[in-house]
Amino acid sequence: MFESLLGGIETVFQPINILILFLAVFIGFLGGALPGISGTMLVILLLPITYSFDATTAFLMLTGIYASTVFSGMISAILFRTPGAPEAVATVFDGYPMTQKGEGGRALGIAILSSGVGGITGTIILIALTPLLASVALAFSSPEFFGLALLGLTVVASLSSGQLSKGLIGVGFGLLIATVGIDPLSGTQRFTFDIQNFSSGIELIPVLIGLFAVSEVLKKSRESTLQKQKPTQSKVKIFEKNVIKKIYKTMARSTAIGTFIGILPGVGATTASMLSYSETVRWSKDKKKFGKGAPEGIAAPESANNAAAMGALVPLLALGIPGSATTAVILGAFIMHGLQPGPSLLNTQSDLVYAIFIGLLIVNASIILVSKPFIKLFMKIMHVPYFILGPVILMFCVIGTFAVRNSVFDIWVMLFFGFLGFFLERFKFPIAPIVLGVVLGPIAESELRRSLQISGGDWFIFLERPISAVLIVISILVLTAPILKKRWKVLVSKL
Amino acid sequence: MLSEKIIAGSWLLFSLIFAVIALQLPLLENNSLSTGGWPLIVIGLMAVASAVLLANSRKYDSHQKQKEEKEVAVAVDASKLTQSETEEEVLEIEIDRPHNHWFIMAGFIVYITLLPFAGFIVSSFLFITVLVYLMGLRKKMGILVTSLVAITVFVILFGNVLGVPLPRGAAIVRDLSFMLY
Repeated sequence: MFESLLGGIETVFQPINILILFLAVFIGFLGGALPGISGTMLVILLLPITYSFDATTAFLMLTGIYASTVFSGMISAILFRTPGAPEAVATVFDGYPMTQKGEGGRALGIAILSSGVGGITGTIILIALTPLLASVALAFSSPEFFGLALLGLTVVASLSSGQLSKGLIGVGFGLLIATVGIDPLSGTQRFTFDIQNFSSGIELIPVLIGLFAVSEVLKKSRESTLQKQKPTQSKVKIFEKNVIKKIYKTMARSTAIGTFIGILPGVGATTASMLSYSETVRWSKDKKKFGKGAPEGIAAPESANNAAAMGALVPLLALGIPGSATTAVILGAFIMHGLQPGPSLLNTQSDLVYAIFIGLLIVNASIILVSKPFIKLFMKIMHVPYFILGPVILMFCVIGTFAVRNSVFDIWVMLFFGFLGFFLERFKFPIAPIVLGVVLGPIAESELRRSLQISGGDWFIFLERPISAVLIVISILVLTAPILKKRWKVLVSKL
Repeated sequence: MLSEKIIAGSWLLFSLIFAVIALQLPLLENNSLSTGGWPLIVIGLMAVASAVLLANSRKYDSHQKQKEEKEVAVAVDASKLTQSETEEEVLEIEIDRPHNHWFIMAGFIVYITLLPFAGFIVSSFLFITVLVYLMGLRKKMGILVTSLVAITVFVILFGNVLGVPLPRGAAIVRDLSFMLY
């Protein structure tokens, strides 16, 4: 392995490859930060350009963009409550409130540090444990995947504005949205109402952009565009001792969660960031501080999503199975370059694989080293009047939504969810659980049904397998804990 | 609060309607869940949660009232305010245009309806113009310049540099669009 790493370093540090890598970082940073432009979209857009490149150069560019967009999605999430990438959704929960308090620079510093640490650690783990991690992922089956999805759903639902019922409604609605279209297991149409556009389902990106970005613009359109006071802290501070003391445990835990989840095929960095946020709240002694600008609330999703993004490359490179939507596109890129990812790739193309590893290390390190100038540029955008910024954000949203599948219908979907998000928030109804339901819905349903098919309809399969049993028991406990706690208090007070 | 009850009631009604639709799908197949099984579970969850929310809305009302009374008491004692709470007071948002969202929504509907016919440039130019006006800019030259610059940047950046597909419109508009992006 050491020789392969040296070979990778030698390959990456060729002038053309270094140039391409930093170009990828630049494009990824800027593109990922812009709402409506996701890492998946950027990788798709640049794929045709890489046809003429050497395979190593091509994949350094694609994986470099992939890693940097996961990071930069948090910039607009924190500054404008508009996640630049789906992976930054959970960062909005505490990042934007911190900006509203005038601590946008601190929020960005926390996110940069967490992203860099998560990404670098995730890459080191990726390099060191690829063969071992691949075998662990192989052992997971449908019951375990369902348990994981259930845990993610129940934990966040229980944190919804202190009202479990609202959270469950939101999650349920998100899960229901995910069922629209053709049932992947039976091929039957569901909830399409004979509308052709619904046959392929409701895409995640229009839902996300609508619920978060469009609703936010609608909300701000009612407000005065004059700022009474400038934010008190606009300087980005990455290494603040007192902040690091608060978040180092969160970063460590979230990095571990993110890497592990990222390795599991089909789960992805978005799920990892949501689950990590949920776990952080659960582990916290002061749950009420979350959603109001808690540093841990930023550190958790950012460490996890960058770690997960690196972890998602494990099944891709080791097994030829994409770990997320973007890695599925990268898989297509491999095939187009005449390469087949899988166990044989490490043997036949070890220079390429280790060059990718070294490239990812450089990209994740550059998050900490060179992100400040990029963020300074984006911080200046904050002083741009909202009558310019608002329309620009909306146009980015429209363009980004249309680019998903060249469909005006998706823009209608985005608008609908924009209306919905706006009105739900007016009535203090949380929208985060809806997003979680949409993200985890397909996994939860397909793995549940597959598990029952395997067991011949026996629901006890989830309890017979130790890992899924543990995950389900934890989910039930988490869901019922707030209710039981209340009942216990009432009982004790009566006694 | 009445709005809480309306929302809870709306979700409950939504759940019931979709439950009826889901029941028309096959629920079980070979003892395991079929097409309609999972949606029915999810809808059931929503229905139960909506019913609980509806039932609890009175308790929520009284809790909110107590919370508001506490907040008033805290606000009176300025010395207890933390720095962030002080900043929140100063940054308190003023609602200048309470109905603006309706106009933007209407504009959006017209925009998306126009897109397949008039194409990206014409529709978006008009939409941006309306948006900039609705968001507060009143100078006519400012609105025009902002809209022109914005549409030019979008077409060059997305349509040409990045090659992102943009709506082309119909007939002659479509043909003209190929000359521009």
